[in-house]
Amino acid sequence: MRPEPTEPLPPETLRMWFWSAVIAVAVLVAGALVLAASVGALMPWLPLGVAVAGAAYVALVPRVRLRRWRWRLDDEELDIVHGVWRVQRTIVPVTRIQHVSVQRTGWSDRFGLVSLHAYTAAGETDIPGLRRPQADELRDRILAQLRTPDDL
Amino acid sequence: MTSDAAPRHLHKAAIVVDELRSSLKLLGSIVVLAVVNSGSGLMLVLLATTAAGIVAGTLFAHRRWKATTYWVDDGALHYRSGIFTPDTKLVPLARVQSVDTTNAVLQRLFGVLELRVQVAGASDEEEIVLSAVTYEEAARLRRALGQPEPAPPDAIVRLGVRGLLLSALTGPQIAAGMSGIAAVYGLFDRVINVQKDGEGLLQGLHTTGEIVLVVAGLLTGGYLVSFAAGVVLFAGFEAERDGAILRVRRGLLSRRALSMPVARIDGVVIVEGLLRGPLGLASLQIESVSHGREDDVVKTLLPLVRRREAEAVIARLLPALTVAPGPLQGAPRRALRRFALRPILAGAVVGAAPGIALGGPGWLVLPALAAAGAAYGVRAYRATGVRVAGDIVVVREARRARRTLLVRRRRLQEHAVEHTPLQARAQLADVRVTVGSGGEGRARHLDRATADALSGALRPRALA
Repeated sequence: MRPEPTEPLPPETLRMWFWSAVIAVAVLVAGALVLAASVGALMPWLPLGVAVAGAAYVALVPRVRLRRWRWRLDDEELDIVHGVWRVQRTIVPVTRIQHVSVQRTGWSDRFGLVSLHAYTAAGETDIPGLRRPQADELRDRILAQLRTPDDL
Repeated sequence: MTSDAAPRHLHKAAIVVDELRSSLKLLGSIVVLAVVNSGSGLMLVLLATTAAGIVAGTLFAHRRWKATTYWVDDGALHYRSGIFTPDTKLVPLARVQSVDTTNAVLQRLFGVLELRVQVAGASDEEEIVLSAVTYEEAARLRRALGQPEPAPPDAIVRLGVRGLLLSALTGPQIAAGMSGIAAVYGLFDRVINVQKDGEGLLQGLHTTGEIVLVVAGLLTGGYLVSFAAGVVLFAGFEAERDGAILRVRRGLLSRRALSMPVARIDGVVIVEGLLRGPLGLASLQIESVSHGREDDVVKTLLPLVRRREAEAVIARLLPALTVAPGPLQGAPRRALRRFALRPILAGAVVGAAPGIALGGPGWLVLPALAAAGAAYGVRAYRATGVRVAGDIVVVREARRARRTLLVRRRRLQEHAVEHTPLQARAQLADVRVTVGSGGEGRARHLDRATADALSGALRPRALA
């Protein structure tokens, strides 16, 4: 039996997701206000409804998301569990990984985080929040295991 | 392996082929414009501009031909092109997935071929396309790219006239049919104002019978276009394997030949469409990294095969994908309602519309569509299943078509086990396997233990 992934994402990821959600909800509420202002019948219920649903989203989703997120890298697989409603366990054989990139944005910099992207011929698998040294170490561990000749 | 360091030009027919291709595209619009503006002075200006455009285009095509060279050296194919900013593409021979050739009517006139070098993970723009090379040069390049000339085949499967007609009748090339209709619409829209005149036409339709007749006419037209497309695309279809190379040839007007090492093929999908399934027929499609972005026609291994013979045909053409007969592990009985619930609800919602709009007999549509939804769900439930047979994983699902993916375990790029809280409560899970082309095989609502066992069998350690 394959062991369950145990590595969590750092707590800063929760802050990043929380503030991303706050901004997204604020934009939606603003949009709802504009729409409701132009269609009088929607005032005040539409912006209020969006605000309440948005507040619930902000309060719940980032926390659940962080609690679910786990990853594991052993000598043969990158194993990731994530998802809020639909929990998804994705397993990528390390020999299938073609290249790895560590990415940072101005937004992730504010939280001291980077993201790691592992690319296979079929697409990419991401770990959205890691501290820089942790991401570098993970990248190096994956690259060190890519010595097996690939018969792609 | 042949090495040829001297840069070579394409055959000079490339100038004409390239220019005629762009001119033909232009010509359609010009003819329509000329018809619309016939008799006016504008037509002369139009024709003069067109002639000037064609001359300039030919000069440009000549410059482009002069600037384009290719050569094989240092274990790589080099392709240099571009007039103002020359660019060299380099494809290591080890990364060449397949070499396709196309012999369209235009190229046949000049005795040349178009040769396309497929590379793993490359987009269309990144592929190397040599638009005109002689047959001899194509053979030399194939050898240089590690794809030897055809030897007597070890296995060959042909599609006869009966098979071709049945394939075109049962597997409509919907995309080709739709684009044909769109092209005809576009043409008419330029000659007459379809929106304006069409409204008049629609207002002329009074009875339900007239509307049904018009809709039936449109559907029949689309089906005939799609039938013709099926015949043109798959005429003379043959798939053969000689040694380690698979060769597929097809096409009436444009003869296309694909050759690729069988070792590059990750898997095969057996597709039983809505029309073919009840007749016990299917088509076979290749899953390989190089053809991931191509449409289904390009990926066709065989456009029509009897379903019960599909595995045997695959074993003959691609021995590495031989799978011993055996049952799949399907979804448990308790999953049946999960398969059926959504299509029943969808059928009921859609079926309620005529009832709300027309009342009375309109409500009869609701139970009919809900029953159709239930049948759809039961079909999906029965089709779902997974199996590990030696080095092969089999994943089957049914949506519109029933698709059975046979894939080499070692070639899977990733797999996933997924569940919602409701599925978790019922000890159910979905399984998804992904191949190099980006194609997926999914099996929904399996027993959780079955899903976990499949995941365990895909562990690299289990493959050793």
